[in-house]
Amino acid sequence: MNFKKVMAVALGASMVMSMAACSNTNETLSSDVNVISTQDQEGQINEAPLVTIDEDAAEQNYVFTYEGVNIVVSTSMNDILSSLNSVAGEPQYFESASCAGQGMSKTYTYNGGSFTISTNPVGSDDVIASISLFDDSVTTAEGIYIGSTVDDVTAAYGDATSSTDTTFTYEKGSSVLVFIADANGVITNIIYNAKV
Amino acid sequence: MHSKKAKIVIAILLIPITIGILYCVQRLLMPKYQKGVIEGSFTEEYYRDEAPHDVLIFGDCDAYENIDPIRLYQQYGISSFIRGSGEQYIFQSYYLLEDALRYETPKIVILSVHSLQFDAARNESYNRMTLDGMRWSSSKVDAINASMMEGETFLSYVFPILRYHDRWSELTKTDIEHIFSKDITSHNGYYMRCDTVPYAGFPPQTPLIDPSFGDNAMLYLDKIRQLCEDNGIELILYRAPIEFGWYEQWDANVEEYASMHGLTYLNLCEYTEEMGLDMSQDTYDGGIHLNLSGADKASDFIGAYLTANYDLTDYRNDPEVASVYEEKIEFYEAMREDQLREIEQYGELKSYGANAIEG
Repeated sequence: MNFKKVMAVALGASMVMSMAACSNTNETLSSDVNVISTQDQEGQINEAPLVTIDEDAAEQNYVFTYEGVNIVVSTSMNDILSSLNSVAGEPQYFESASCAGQGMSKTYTYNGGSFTISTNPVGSDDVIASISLFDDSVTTAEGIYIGSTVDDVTAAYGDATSSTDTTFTYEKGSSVLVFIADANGVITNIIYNAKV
Repeated sequence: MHSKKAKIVIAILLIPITIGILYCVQRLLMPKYQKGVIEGSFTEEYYRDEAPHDVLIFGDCDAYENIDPIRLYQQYGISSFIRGSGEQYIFQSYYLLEDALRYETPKIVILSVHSLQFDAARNESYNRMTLDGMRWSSSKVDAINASMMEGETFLSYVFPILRYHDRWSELTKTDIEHIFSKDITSHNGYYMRCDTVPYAGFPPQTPLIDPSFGDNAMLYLDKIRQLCEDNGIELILYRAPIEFGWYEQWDANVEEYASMHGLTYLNLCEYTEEMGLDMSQDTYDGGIHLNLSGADKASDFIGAYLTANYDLTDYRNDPEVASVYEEKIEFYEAMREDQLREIEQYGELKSYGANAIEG
């Protein structure tokens, strides 16, 4: 082969390698202003909360239901926001920027603080990272509320996946439901978390 | 014969030419962190600093947004540098400290305890912002190995083009302008913000299920303590005067650790009144980070504390260091004036912050 051709092919190959060696169809990395996306080399989303979107979430996870609206961790808040607001009223809204501009974490507080929903950004979506219940005006789908007893929890959910003297953790699908009790066995906190 | 020799020479030349082209393309494609999210520049800016430092500060935004080294110098003559980065994990702080000790041995290391809440890396973007700017050494190798998440490869840190290859469609003029040289964006690692968004309350805290810190986080806290001890460095554990995203139980953990090892825990949340911190004026994002006004109040407090308790050099009396700081102060004042001008003109910052508009 002509030597010039060899050189041209080598230089051309280096350019192609650099531009498209690992070419894929993922969304492109952002500009300097927005710095870098959170794709990894495999093109998977790799963002902070480590949550995943689950199409059959309501059947496969612990669900908090408010006035007929199912709220499930690891699913999109945007999908339920308007229907939830229509039954629970406008929430108190709080957002905080992640370090170095990596999106906004948001918290929606309903009913003057009866329950909160926290979300983390995944791409352009806000994915529910946790749901916390703070008073006895709301209950879990299985009827447990702040003020229930550990015995009530066991009767409703069976044996915990893991537990300490005061913390009872149940796992289902990508959700983790945690009950925290005081020294008298009374439930003081109920939290739905996304499984990490 | 002559032609064959020429071909061999050209073939030999072809190798460095190819490597050179790949290197240039890699430089072009890597994020420059010159505007908007500048935090990715902080790690490498340390190497360009010409002043010696009595105090090195490590951590995430609790460190680099709430302590102002220029103020520490102006008010107390303390020369310090913040080796901070976005969501810097404690294992990264350890390796950044180990790396810094190749260049200097400070008298004091201030470590933000905020990162103790994370036992492992959570976000690849933060890894890149902290690690890409590190100079190559065994510390960087270890830092990468300690930080990599599922899906990341060591090779992509060696050849970042493997990570950034598809940025080509989003290149801006900043990428061209700064392909081989970058501007300094921080003030000895401090991220300046002069705008104000007052505190208007935080939502109820999600209850803490397990108050203990992770084993890995504690392991690296031990390693930092040991590294400081081995090098005769005073380690100060520090918490910014920010209530958001932290729990009292965590304070108790840090206090217990500090007490057990004879360390100081400088929890600035306990001194907000003494500092005169007013979160209606001293924060740029509703109380999550301090603005320049707040950072200066915190820095005045820290400077007074350090001066009263440690034998630090007043570098204002050292002509060589003072001349280095003169340039820093000029840059600092220029940025402050520019930010104040934008706030006056637009009611907000246009050229600074994560959503900065590229000019």
